Amino acid sequence: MTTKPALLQHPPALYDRLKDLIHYSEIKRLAYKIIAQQQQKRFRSLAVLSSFPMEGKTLFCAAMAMAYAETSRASVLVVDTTTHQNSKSLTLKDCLDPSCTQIEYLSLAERRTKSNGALSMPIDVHLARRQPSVEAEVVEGKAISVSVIKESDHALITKVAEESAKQYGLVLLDTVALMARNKNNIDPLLAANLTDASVLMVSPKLLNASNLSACLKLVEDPALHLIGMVSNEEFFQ
Amino acid sequence: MKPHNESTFNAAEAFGLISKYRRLMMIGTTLGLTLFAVAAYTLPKKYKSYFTLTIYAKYFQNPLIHDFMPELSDPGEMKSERETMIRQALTPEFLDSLRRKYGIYHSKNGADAIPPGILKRILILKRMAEGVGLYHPAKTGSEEAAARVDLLTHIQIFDLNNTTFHVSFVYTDPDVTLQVTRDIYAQVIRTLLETHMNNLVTVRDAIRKRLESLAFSLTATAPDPRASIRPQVVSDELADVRNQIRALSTQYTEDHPALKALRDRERILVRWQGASSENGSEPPSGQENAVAGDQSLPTVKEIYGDLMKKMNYLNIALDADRAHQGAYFATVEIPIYPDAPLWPKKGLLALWGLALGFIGSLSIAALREYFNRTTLRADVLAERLGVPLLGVLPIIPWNTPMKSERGN
Repeated sequence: MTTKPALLQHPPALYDRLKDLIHYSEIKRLAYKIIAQQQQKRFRSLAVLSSFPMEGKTLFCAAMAMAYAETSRASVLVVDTTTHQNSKSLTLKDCLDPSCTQIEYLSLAERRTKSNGALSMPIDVHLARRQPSVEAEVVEGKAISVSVIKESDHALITKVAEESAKQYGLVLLDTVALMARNKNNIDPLLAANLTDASVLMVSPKLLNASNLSACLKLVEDPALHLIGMVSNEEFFQ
Repeated sequence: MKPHNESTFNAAEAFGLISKYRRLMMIGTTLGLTLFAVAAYTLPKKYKSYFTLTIYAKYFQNPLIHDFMPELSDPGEMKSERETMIRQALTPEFLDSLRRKYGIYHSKNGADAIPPGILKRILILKRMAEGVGLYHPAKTGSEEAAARVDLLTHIQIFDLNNTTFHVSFVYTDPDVTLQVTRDIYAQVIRTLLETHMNNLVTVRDAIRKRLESLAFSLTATAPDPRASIRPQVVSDELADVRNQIRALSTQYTEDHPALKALRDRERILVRWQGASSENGSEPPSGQENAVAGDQSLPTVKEIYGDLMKKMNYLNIALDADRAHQGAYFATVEIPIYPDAPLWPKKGLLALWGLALGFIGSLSIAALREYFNRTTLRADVLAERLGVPLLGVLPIIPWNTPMKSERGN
């Protein structure tokens, strides 16, 4: 038996470290509860929301995907709807083991950039075109492009949510923070509206926020199909 | 805006809370105990030696001399007089002698304890401050005075009752403490005796002087033996009279009655001096003396006899003083070697550490509990939004090795 010298060994990948997570009882309990909720409310797509960045959405998505796949023996699609990320935030792609066949990863931002507004496979282009984009065309200037992007996001998410639901046991959508300022992001409210259900991550950041009422007002919308909250008591540093 | 939970504690919860925060309280108490225990061993020790002295009332009361020296009878007055006399014993000269003998206190407050590097910087800063007028260096005299005051703070005097006083000295070295206390004891006793003796001697000298003066008046017809036996007395009085004449002549004429009387006295004394030097006394006439003292001969005789009697009493009192010096005082407790430091007391400090550590940790626990109860929590928020709290993400130890790494 020969082992690699220490210098030649690669540092453990983030997903290797996160694999330990599924052994935590808290994660197991969360997975069971999501499965129970799924059976009760019949949903496949689940948007993960938070009011502020770095409240644990990406960590929850990665951990839940692994725990769900192991618990229910079903495949999971993890959709990254973020475009611009905080440098300190986790990147969803890095959190997932590419060798794991039960978990698949999809970046909506990449897909949107490649198609430049027009959808590419596996999402049905024609269905996307049927979305009400005509009204957007009569608007001049910047409003046109913004409107077209919005329509594309809408179509993208709808397609992902609808079509993937047939192939996967659970579709998890990692969104940007509700209070994020970047307008180029895929709207988390839109993502939550178009999915079957959503969960809200709660950290001390939200609990101690001065504008807590404003934050709560956003998530009180019944169209978000909020099925529960997940507490994260530690900021990810 | 935020919903608040109940933040009141009740007795039923007390045991639960103690159980919840037992680790914090144990750590806090142990920490407090350790800190104070370390302090007990590292803090500079202070030793105390003392003596207890009783000064009897007879020190201030003597029936033999009560005609000359007013006696104290008021207890309060006597008490303050006793304390004053003990304090008067601690003269600047005595304090300086202690400094020289034992090197007890430093001229600059604790300057020797400061490391040289810091002392150098302090001096530079002082010089700079002096340059801009923010600091005025202390004069040498004031430094010494401050040092004496510093030493006096180590000496404690307090009364146990009206007659008994407790005098103690506190210092870091037990040997020096004992020696200094013994020195203070000796100094106090010496001062008390000297004061008492000086008072008697002063009165006796005054009487003697007067008697010598009167003696000449009594020997109008007979030669006064003292004129020939003690010519020095005549010389001293002559010098004294001449000094008085010199002083008065600057203000008055020769016709002034006082000057006239002094001139007469001078003549008599000069004659006596001459007579005693020739070993043949020629005493002044009774008339001359009577004129000089402005008194008649019987009166002089009476005064002389009275003064002579009193001087005898004084001599007796002085002899008694010399023979029984300890009769005025009683040393209730003599200075003894301080075998244990006055401060820090290990047991007491340990108790303080234990109590402070426990109270401190209890306060922290109470604060934590209070904030836990008043801070908005995720479950409360979930309840407010009408959705379940699905779970809690575990706190991930990102800095620790993975299970697989640990396994390997």
